[in-house]
Amino acid sequence: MIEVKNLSFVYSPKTPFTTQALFDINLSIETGDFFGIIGSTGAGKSTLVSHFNALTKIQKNSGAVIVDEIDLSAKKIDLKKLRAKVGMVFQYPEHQLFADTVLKDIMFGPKNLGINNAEAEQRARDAIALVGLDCAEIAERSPFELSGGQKRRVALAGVIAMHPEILVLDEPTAGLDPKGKREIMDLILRIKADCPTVVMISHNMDEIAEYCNKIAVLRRGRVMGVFSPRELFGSEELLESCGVELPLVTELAVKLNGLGVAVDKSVLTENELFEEIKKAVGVKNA
Amino acid sequence: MRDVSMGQYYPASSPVHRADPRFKLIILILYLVTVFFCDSFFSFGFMTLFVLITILLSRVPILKVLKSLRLIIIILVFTTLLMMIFYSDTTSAPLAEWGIFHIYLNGIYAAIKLGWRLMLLVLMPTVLTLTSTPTELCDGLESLLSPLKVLHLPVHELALIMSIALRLIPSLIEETDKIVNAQRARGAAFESRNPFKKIKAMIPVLIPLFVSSFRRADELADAMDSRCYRGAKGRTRMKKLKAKFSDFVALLFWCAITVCILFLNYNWLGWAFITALSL
Amino acid sequence: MSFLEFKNVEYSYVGGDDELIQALKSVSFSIERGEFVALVGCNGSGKSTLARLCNGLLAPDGGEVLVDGQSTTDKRALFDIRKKIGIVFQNPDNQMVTTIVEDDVAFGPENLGLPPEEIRERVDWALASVGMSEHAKSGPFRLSGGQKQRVAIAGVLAIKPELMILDEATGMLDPNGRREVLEVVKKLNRDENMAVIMITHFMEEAAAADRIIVLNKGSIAADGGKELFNTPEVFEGAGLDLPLYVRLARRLNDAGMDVGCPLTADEFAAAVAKAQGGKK
Repeated sequence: MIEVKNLSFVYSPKTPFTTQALFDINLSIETGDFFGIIGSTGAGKSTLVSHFNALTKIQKNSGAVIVDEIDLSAKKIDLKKLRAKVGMVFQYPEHQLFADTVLKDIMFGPKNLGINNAEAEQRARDAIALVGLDCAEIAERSPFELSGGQKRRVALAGVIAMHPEILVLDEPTAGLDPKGKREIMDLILRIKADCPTVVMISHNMDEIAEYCNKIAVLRRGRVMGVFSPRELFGSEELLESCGVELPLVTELAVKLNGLGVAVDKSVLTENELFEEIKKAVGVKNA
Repeated sequence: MRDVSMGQYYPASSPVHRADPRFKLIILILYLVTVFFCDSFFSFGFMTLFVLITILLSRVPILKVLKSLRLIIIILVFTTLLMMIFYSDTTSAPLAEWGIFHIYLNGIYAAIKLGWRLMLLVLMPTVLTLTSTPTELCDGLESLLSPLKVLHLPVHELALIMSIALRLIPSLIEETDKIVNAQRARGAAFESRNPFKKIKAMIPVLIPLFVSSFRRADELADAMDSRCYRGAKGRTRMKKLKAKFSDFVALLFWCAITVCILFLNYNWLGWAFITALSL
Repeated sequence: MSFLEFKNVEYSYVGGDDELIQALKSVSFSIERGEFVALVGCNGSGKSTLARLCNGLLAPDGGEVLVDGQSTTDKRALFDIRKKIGIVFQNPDNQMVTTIVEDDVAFGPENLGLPPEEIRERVDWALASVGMSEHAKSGPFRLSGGQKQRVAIAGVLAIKPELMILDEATGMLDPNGRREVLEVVKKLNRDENMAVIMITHFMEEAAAADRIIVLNKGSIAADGGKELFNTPEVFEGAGLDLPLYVRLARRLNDAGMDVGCPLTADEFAAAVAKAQGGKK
C-alpha cells in the first residue's frame, strides 16, 4: 500500500520562479485498489505519482510517502527494491522503446533489477503473452517496426516483466482509438490479477467511472477529496465544486432527469444507464 | 521542468525591445570586443554601468537577466579559483601559500577581472535574447549576412535553421527529462561513476531521443510544407526591419564607449596600432 | 466540378520487414466548398495518409487527387493547392516554427509573399477568430494543449484556405482542450463558410459534422449523413463505436421502446422523455 502524508512539493525552490505543485497531500492507497487520480492539466497529478517510486525526491520537511514500509523520505532508499515493487507506465510509453528487438527491450527492466538472463527472458516471454501479443512472431522484431497499439503493449510488457506489486499508469489510453482503449483497459484488468494495486491517472471520465473503486480529485495541487465513483459522479454539486468533467453516461442521466425521466444519476456504465432507463419508463408504465 | 533562460523572450514594451535587431547585433559584437579590451577596474565598472542602464531601459526584471549566470556559475567559480591559486607574480611577495599554491594580491585582482569579464560576456547576449524574438534575431542575422548571398551561401536557410533550433531546444530538454525518468523507473542507473557504464546507460535515452527528434523533424517539415513554405523565394515579412534614428544614435553611442575603453587602456600609439591591425 | 476530388486513389508504402503496405485502396470521394465532414476510422485505417494526399504532401501511386481541377502530382500547382487546403496536425508542439505566437501565425502569409500590412491584418484576424488575441506575444510553453492547437489553427487560417483538414488535431488534448478546438472549428465552418474535414476517432466529435466518411483498412466503408448511425454495422466493422446515445437508443428500441434514431444527446433525452410520456 502507499501512504502519502502531508506531502508538498515546490518547483525551483529558493528562486524568484518558485511554483508550488503540491500542497499538503494526504492519501492512502490500499492493496487491491484500482485507484483513480483525476484533475485538469497542471493539477499536479504527474508530480504526485512520480514520488511513488522516488523519481522525484521528497523535499526537506515536505511530508512523507511510505510504500509498503519503505519510507521514501529517508536519506538512503533501496531503489532497486522500490522500483521492483512499483512499476511506472508513463504517458505514451512507446516513446521509451530503444532496443533492437522487442525481447531485449522487455528484458531491460528485469536485468536492471539484477535478474539473470535466462529468467529475464522467461519473464519477457510471459509478459509478451500477457499483453496479448504473439511471442513467436514478435520477440525478435524491432520494436520500431510495430504498429502504435503494439508498441504500447510492448512498453507495458517492459514494466510488467519487472513483476511489480503496484502499477502506476499515467493516461494509459491516450491517443488510442476506441477499440485500442478498450483493449488496453482489458489488459490492465488482466494484469491486476497478479499486480493487485493499480493507480491510474486519466482524463477519460468514462474509464475512471467504469474501472476505479476510489478516485482522488486533484485541483491546483490540492486533494479535493477521495470518493467512491458513485459518490463522486452521482453528485453534481461535488463534481462542480471539484471541477470535474461529467462522464458521458452521467451527462445523459442528468439530461434525462432534466426532462422528467427519473433515472439514478450515479450510474457508472452504459449497462446501468440502460437498465435505469428501462426501469424509469417501464415502472411508470406498470 | 527545467527552465532555459537563454533564448527565452521576455515580452515588454521598451526602447531596447523596439530597437532594430540588426543594430542590436552589431552593438553586441562591438560590446563583446570592448569587453575583451577592458583591463582596469575602472573600465569594468564603466561597462557594468552601461549594462545596468541597458537592463533598466529594457524593463526586464534584473533577476531574470542575472539568472543566466546560473548556467555558468560552475565555470565562473572554477576559473576564478584556478586563476587565483596559479597566478604567479615575481615582483611581489605572496599573501599566503600552501605548498605549490601561492596567492598574490595581483592574482586576486586578475581573478576578479576574469570573473567579471565572464559575467559581462554572458549578461549582454542574455539581454539581447530576452528583448528580441527569435524571429527578429533571425531576420536581423539574415539581413546582416545577406551580402554573402553573392557567394551563394544559403543565408535564409541558415537563419531559419537557427530559429527552429531555438524553438526546439526547450522541447528536446523536456523530452530528455521524460525519457530519463521512464528508464529510471525501469531500473536504469545513471548514477554510476564508471564512465563506460555511464555511456552505456545513456543508450536507452539517446535512441528514443533520436527517434523522437526525427519524428518531430518530419512532422515540422510537413507542417511547414502545408503552410506554403518554399524557401526564401517570394517570401515577405510581417515585421519589416526598419532602422530608426534612435538606432543610429545608439550605435554611435556604443562606438564612443568602445573608443573610450580603448583610449583608457592604450596610449594613442597603441590605438593607432590597433587601427592599423584592423585595417 | 467539386472542390476536392479523389479518383480511385491508391497509395502504398514500405513498412518494416520491407513489405509493401497498401494504405489506401481505390478511394474515391469529393468534397464541396463549405462542407463539414468527419473522417473516421481506427488507427491504421489510412486516415492520416489520406490527409497528406489532399495537399500533395504525398503523391498517389494510382488514381488522381484534384483540387479545384488541379492535380496534386503537378509540382507547379502545389503552391496553389496548399493555399487552398490547410492541415492542422496532431501534435501541437511540432507545428510551431518559431517561439512567438504571432510570428508563428505570420509564417504562412509570409510564404504567400503578402505585403506586411496585410500579413498583420490576417494575423490579428486569425488570432481573434480562434480567441487567442491576448496571447499574441507569448511563447508556446505558457499555453495549454488546447490553446497551442488553436494557435496552430490560426496559423492555417491566416493563409485563408477554402478547406481546413484537422488530422486528429484533438487526439492529444484533454476534454477541455478538445471542446475548445471543436467550438472554434464549428464557428469557422459556420461564419467563414470554410470547408472542414475533421479526422477523428471520437465519435461524439464526428456527430458534430454534417457528413461522415468511414474509412476501414484503406477503403471507404460508408459515406453519408448522420443517418449512417442507423446502420451501426459499418462503424463496428471499422472498429469504431457509435456515440453513447445512439448505442443506448438502439438497445432501447430492441427492448421494445420507441425512441427512433436520435442524432444528438439532447434529441435522445427528448425521445426517451416522450416515450415515457406516451406510455403513461
